Amino acid sequence: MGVKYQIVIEIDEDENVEMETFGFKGPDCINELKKITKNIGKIGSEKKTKEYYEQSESEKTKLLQKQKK
Amino acid sequence: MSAVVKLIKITHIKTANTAHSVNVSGFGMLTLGLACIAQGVKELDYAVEQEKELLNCDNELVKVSLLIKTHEGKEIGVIEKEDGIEFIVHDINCAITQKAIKKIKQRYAKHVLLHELQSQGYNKIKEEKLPNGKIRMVVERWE
Repeated sequence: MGVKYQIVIEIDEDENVEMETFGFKGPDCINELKKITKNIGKIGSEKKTKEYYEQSESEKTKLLQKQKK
Repeated sequence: MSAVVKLIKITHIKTANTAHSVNVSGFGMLTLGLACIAQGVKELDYAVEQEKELLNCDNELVKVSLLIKTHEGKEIGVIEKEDGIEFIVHDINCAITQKAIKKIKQRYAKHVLLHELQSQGYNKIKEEKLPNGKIRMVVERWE
């Protein structure tokens, strides 16, 4: 089964945009938002929630591979 | 579960070349920047004409790519420059005009963002206008 990635976006009347990611783990979420915004805007601030500090799937795989060795 | 909240400011999408032209119903081919403005203006139900002239605040006649007319009859011209979209108005201090420009810019930001998200595989699944005036959208993609 596939993985669902969601972004909730709010835009105010001064063109300020707030984006919140769902489904990403670790730095994947920041990288995704950087990819989306690189051509269209500048980042004002960012807030990391506890999920940010969870390991992404790619990191988990790397760790498992290391442990097997 | 949420992971990160970021605040950004939409500036301008570099679109002033034909490679990024978009066909907008009722307008024909427009650069992506102007297309995002046109789509936003359509949502606001403002009247709009292409390639017109408008008196600016210095009483000079200026050629504009889009001429928007608000529900109150106020005229707003739009031209696209290399560094962004420029709005031309005759009465720069008119509160009605300034409010309309804010609404147009908000929709512009929405369409610029949506274009970028769609190009990266996201689909919009929900959109609503919040009581505080914000536009809220939910987009998703599967992998």
